Amino acid sequence: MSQKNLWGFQADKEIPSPPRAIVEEYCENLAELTNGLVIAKAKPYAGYTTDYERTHPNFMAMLSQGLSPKITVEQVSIQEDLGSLGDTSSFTHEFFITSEYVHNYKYRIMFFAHFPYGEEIVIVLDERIADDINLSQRIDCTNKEDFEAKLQRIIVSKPVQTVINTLYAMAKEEIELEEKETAEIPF
Amino acid sequence: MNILFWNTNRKNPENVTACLCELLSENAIDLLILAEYPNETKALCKTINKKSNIEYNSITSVLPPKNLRAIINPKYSAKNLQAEARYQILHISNQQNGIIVAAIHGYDIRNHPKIKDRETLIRQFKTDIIEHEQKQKCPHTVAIGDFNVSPYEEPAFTTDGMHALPFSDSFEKPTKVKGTNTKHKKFYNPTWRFFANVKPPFTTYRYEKDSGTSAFYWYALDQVMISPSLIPFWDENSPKIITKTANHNLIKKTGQPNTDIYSDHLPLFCQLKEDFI
Repeated sequence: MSQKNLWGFQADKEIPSPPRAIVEEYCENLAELTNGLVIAKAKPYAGYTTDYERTHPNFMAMLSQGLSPKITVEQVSIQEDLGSLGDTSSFTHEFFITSEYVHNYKYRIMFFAHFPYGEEIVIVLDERIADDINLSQRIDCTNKEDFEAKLQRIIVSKPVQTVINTLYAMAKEEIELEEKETAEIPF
Repeated sequence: MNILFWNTNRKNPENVTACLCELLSENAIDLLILAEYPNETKALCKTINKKSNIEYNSITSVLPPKNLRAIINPKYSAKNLQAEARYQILHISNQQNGIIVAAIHGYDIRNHPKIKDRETLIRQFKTDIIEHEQKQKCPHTVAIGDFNVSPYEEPAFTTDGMHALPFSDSFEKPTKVKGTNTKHKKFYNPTWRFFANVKPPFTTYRYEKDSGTSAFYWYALDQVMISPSLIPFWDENSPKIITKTANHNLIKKTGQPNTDIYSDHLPLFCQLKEDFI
């Protein structure tokens, strides 16, 4: 007897990989390229990123107007939508560069948020990168391909490259100094 | 430790620099933070050092904030923990102790008229402060700058913002909002002491063209907020508004900032007692 499927659940249905998986590939790559001296991280973020406008069909209006489609725009606080400070939301992340050799200095490249009900991914970019690559600070990516294309432009921007190169040089210097100091300790 | 914050505006850098040399020596400033100062930090430091007994160090950053500059007395060491476009978080220490100094130049009302936009930045600022306090194991923070909101506006005092309150007796515990599990760190905001003074300047900024139904004229956009742990070490007369130096008068006869010659803001001075840092 075949099993009833009242919930429409499909175990083998392909779930689109969340943007965090894409970003983590970039994180691994940076650690490899710099021998772990400079690393990038994608971490759930508990604070505000930005408000946004959500468009959706207004079903009440559709019913009252003989099912004619009507789109309404609603101002949504990303915070109300994704949880308050201290709640770690799996939908909003910050993407940053750091180095444990440079007193945990942190450079936040961007926030990104995705939503369980669609493919849209929102990026909120560091102002200095936005200025450099001529993009607005808030970018609405239609899907993960669009997200990855934007990400590629972002990571080769001048501010990101400056931070990576400077941190790498500082981390190397720090290690050399540590090695020298260790070598100088008399037995 | 004496800290001076000033939104210098961009219009009169030569007059401002000349005034800064006197401001620093007359007030024995250890840490100077500027917003909107248009010249490079290193050049400023060089000019000041020519006229000062102290060889100040410029606080540089891998990628500096857009509109903030800082220099420091070499008796302190400064580590740059984070430099966003609009704010910078530093760890300042001497042999005795360490504090976190977080400086901000918030979004202004003209370009960001929605309070929610300005709140978003301030909330990010606070979230990052808390993260660095935990990483550095240092709960002592001085948050200072042009927040571009007033102490009585929501981004300054609500749990969603800085949660900076004017009462220094309510700080034993962080605030836990009913129905949530989140604990919100409180800050003490001594900037409230400016309100209801009888003589100008009442605050560091006056908006001449204020004409709305909520016209307030004098705004305390430049503020300092401190961690509860620093209250016992906070000088009770801080913050103070500085209006003049030996050769520079920063206000007009009416008490308003001398915008044409210097800046539309006045400098904010504050002091942490030396037995702490």
